[in-house]
Amino acid sequence: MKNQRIKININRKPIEHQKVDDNKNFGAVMAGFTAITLPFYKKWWFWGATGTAVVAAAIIGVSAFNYKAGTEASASAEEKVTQIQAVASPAEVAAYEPFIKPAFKGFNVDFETYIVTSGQEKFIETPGGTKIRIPACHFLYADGSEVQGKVEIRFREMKDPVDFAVSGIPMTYDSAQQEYLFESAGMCEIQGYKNGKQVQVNPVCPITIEQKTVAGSAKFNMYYLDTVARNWQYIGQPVWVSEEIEDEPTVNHQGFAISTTKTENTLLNSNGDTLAHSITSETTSPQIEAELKELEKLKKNAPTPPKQYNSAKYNFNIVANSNNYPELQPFTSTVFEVDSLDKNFSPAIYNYNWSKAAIEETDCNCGKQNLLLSRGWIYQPETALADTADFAEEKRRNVTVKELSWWQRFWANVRSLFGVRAKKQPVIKKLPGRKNDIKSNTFQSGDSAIITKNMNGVVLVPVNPNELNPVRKSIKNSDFVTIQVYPILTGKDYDKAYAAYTQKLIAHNKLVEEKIARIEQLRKEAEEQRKAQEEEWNKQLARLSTYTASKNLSYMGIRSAFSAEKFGIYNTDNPVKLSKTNTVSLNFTNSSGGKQLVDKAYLVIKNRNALMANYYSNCCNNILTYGTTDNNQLFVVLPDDYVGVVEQADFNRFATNKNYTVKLRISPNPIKDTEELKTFLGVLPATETAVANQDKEDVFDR
Amino acid sequence: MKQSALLSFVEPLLKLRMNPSPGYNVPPLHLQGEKELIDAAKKRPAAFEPLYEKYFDPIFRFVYQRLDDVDTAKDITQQVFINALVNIKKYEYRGFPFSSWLYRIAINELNKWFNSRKADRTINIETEGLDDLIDEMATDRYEEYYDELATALANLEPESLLLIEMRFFEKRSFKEIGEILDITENNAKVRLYRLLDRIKTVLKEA
Repeated sequence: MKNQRIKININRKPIEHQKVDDNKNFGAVMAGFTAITLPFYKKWWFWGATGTAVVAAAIIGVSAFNYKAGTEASASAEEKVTQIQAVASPAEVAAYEPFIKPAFKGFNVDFETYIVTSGQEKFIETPGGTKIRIPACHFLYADGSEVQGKVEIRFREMKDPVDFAVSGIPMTYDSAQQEYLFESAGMCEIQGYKNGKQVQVNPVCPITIEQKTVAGSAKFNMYYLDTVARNWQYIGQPVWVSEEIEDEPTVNHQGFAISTTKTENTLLNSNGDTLAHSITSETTSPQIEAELKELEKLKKNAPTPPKQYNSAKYNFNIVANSNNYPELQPFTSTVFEVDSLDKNFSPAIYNYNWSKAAIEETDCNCGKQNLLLSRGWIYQPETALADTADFAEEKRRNVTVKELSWWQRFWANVRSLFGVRAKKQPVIKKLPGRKNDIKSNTFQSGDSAIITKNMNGVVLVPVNPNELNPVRKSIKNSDFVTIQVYPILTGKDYDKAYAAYTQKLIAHNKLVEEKIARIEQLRKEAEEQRKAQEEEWNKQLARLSTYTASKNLSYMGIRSAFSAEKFGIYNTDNPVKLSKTNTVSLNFTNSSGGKQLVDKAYLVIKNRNALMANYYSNCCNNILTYGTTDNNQLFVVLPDDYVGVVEQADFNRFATNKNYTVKLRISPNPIKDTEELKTFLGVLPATETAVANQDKEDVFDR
Repeated sequence: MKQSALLSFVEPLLKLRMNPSPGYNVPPLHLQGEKELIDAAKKRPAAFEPLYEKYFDPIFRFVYQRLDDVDTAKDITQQVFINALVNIKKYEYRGFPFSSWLYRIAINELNKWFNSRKADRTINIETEGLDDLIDEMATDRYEEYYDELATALANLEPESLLLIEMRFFEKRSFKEIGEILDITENNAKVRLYRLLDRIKTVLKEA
């Protein structure tokens, strides 16, 4: 003790329990742990140093490059939002942090407890009006064995942003790395215990829950909180069930009715379909679908521009006797260009006579055509080949594909350059028919052969064609070649064709525009119809609740019915993104103007029944993003469970990306329970909000 | 018959001798849940939170008892839990509560802070505890000993001071003191009474 300074306190005031609790910060422990255990390249100092070096290098570079701009930019730099450097990256710290973070130390949303017998059916109705059916199935232990005897069922409901905050259950949804905010119709948690040990639901016999929700609409889906994956899992759409009403209400309004005589007391439309199912979440209709198909077809039939001669590509004429090949007559003056992507083409096709040639359109509607060439003979199996008239005819027919000669190419180039109309078409040469190309006696009746159907009929191919037909070796694989070609134009022919194409294109585009306008109109009408349906749905719900209220009954809203195959947390939600947002940096002060450090802040989005939790670091410049068109309220949880509030009026004065110091309206006493918090924040219980919003005169006609 | 009767009496004893009670190395009931929590924290650091929640208060008070500053106590306590979390894989259950391990980390951490002079050693004396101490030394002259006693305590070695603090100002049992200091209960008693004799001698000389 010699080198140590010693201080002696006599009867120091003992530290209060609450003061000790205020110093708890498990997040800081996890951050410290992460910083110690991370490899150097994940440590803050590494990235801090690297970041500083990069920033410094960038600043030097930018300053050197753009010296003048620097002075102006620095003036407004102080107003920009500043980021706080974290010890470890937020994602790394978040990975260790508890997933569910209750806002308050002193209280939470309480569970109701029910005792059921494993293996026996039981119906439970909670004080909140939710109905739970426990099926006549045994609960299971983790090892799959059946639970016998009494089981404790714990159930709690969270219906408004205050409940969400108090429970600490996250209200954001990550779908394909896109974060959405949950607009909730209601959330519940159900757990099962046997002698303090958690049990499981037998997935074969799920528990049925009809949760009394604060809203009902087809836009809501069901989600299950996966606490391992730390995200919500989409599990489908709930079935919407209305409250049982003793007397059948005779409500009819624009074709909608709430019927209690139909099964399950479900909201129905005039066709007797479940209304939730009849309201589509997308604005579409069969008519729109048909129009869209027509539009696609129209787009496919867009005119294609004429192709101009390109000497860099393979070009050729088809040379054939017009008497023998009348079908090729229209193409005798046409120059064809081989599609550059065609793998079947080989210049070897110029060397041989073909017995058949045909031109056919392709499906692409791009001006591309198929040139089919074959060296087959029509085969009549009943008669000997050499004796048939068809065979003789086919043998007589010959066609060649002739590459453009040097002067043809030269002339085409000249015409392309100067637009000179050629007086003469490219020469069409009549080629002499090839004799004894394949001896007729090669094919005898009864010989082995493959019959292939091709362009003009059945074609015979010898089984061993390589021996019989030397052409096959040079033209890759077959006696049948299909080459993709474009008819091309030169000189004024091209100009003329292009002018015609332009006219066609203008007419086509006009048609497309008209079609698009028509579809937009239909979509608008469908959207209006959908909105009207949804409004009608909401009106019916409001009527229902007014009716039940007038009967001096508890609020009887709609129920979201679903099957729970697992114990856990279920949420009826609509994932939304805030459309127009603003981000500000906030520092808080207490009522006396002193600096107030904050670690938990909750943005209540009143018009959406949604909550956005923000976890700060008990420091400064706390970043807050909020929707500018929403009705917002921010509340922060202070030491000793005091609560501070920032109201909408403050939000109204916030400008984009600025720093603000906000004075908190702090509760006079520590908040002790959820109801007290709701009262302080002025948040009506969700059910009362629903009743308050409805038109008082809009009640059931009886 | 006599032989079989004898065997039936002896056999269970023999079995007992060969197979000691299966609960021999099993933590007592009140610590069983704690062992599960420790095992969970070894696998997943986030699972350490229940242990943190359970022991934050006693560790914080233990640290604060030796300091004069809440903020420093907070920092040291945080460091204690970070160290515990970093080293939890090395922790072995030896029949003592997990808290005793945390207290030992806290003592080391406090010593580090005192040695680096980042914090002043403070002795927070409650007169009630001081009275108990004087009682133990079998004297009835209470008030006049306060100053001398305080001075004597300030001159003690850190380990001795820790013993006095835990016994008289924190009202810990000898069993608990033994667990924290990793010594037996008897050893804790012997050390304390020797220490009291020493203090008594010092006071007489004064």
